[in-house]
Amino acid sequence: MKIAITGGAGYIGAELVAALSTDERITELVVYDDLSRGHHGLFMGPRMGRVPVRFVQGDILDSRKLRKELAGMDRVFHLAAKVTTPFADAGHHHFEQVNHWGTAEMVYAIEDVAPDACVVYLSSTAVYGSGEAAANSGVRPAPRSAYGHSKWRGETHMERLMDDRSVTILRLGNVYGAGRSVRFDAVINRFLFEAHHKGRISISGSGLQQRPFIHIDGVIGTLGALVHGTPLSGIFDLVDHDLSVLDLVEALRTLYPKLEFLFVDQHLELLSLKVPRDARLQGIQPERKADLVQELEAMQGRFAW
Amino acid sequence: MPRALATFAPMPTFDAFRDRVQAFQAEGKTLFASTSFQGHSVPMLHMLSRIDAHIPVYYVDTGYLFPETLRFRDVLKERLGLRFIGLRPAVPKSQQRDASGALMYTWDPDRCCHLNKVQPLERVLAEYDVWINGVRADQSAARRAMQVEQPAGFGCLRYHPMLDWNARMVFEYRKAHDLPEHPLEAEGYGSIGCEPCTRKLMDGYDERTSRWFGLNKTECGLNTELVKEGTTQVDQ
Repeated sequence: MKIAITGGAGYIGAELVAALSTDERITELVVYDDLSRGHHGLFMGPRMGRVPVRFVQGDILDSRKLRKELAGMDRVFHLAAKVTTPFADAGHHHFEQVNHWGTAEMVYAIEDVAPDACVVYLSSTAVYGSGEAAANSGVRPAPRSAYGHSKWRGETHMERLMDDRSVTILRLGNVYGAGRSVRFDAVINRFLFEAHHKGRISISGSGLQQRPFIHIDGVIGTLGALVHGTPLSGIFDLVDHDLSVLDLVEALRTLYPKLEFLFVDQHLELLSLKVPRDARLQGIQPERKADLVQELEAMQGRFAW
Repeated sequence: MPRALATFAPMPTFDAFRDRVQAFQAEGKTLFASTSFQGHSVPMLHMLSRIDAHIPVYYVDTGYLFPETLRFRDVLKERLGLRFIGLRPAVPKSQQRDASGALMYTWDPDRCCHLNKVQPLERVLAEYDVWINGVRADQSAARRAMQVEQPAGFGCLRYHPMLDWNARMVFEYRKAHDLPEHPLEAEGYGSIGCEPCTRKLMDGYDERTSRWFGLNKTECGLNTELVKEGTTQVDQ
């Protein structure tokens, strides 16, 4: 089985490559990434498994290169995206360019050169916007940010492929946890970094805002289950739990009792979003094995000091 | 007969269209048609399917089409049995950025249309003798100046069987033949092209604002650049 992973050098991609590199039913892993975020963690140890990994530095808007590299793939994981946390509204055009039109180019290339490929596309719960009631894939998206809108438009292109193949669209919550290409702009990771190394975290808004989250192990476990399992077509929410910022602070204070937290603009009531676990992913999405404090502790243990 | 139908005369157009296509074919000429899958192009496609469904129908898939347009293509293919052939730009989008990284449609829409629409179709003109094109005179000043037949360049002849039609006739024809409409029409879109340069109709604005709103531009170039010079006067 040949698998291509766009954004394969990124936060999720690097962990996915590492996980799949030990699966000897896979004959080749192609990492397609433009390295635009500067992540190079994929390329350093610990050593990968035995599956041959091939890196292609490429832009998903380079249709010619994309067609060449996706030809004959059995699985395509489209992870490449522009994400700028927390500034999901800065630089609208670049969100459109990568997340919307880049995904359209992916769809064209898959149609043309990978007719048998099952596809997994990572979208985001940002497509739901915000609201008091819990959102899920049965409600019509109402994105409130340029990022959310671009991911939703990307979905509409991917949905075209569902007519003749399996396409799994996963709307991810905020991802956290250690990794080769860990993103420290992701809120939980950033807070842990600040708590550990600075003793004080900075909070935007009132701290009451809620978001859906998922640990990176839950993401990788789910993606791994989609490699060999029964093809799963449709749109799903890949989240584990909702948290407010203040919930998160409480968990951090368990590890760092003297932690300070500074509100930058606490008069602001920022948008909230709640998304429950998707029951349809039962048996595919791993059960969460640790609580938040244990997860934070595990990541804390990865710091160099 | 209801008043609306009084202006509807599909059979003479169909007969003339069929006769002309058959005459071209009797002369040994090769033909192709083009479409953008807008609702107003459906009558021509329907008539073409009744005349000769083997005539290839090209569309320019710029990479910026609405996914709804591509789904509508599939609906029409199923319904009409036509052979649609997509043309893609030769220049990847990654090479259509300026120094700041912005895509071409944000800073030079004319050049964007040229690279992504006109150039892909040019090579098709060189392969065929006749281009069946569904433009209507009431759509723009450039189209109002067109003739039913005129050279396209590259040795190809443009043939415009729908030139004298109007929006009402399109509506009535679609209704009479129970033909589908583009799914975005129901959402308030008028003229539907590439997504970045298309917007929904707004109250108090005419249909012209559906495309390139704010620019003097009214044509993508297929009906201005692929018209042999000196054969038509363009009033812009």
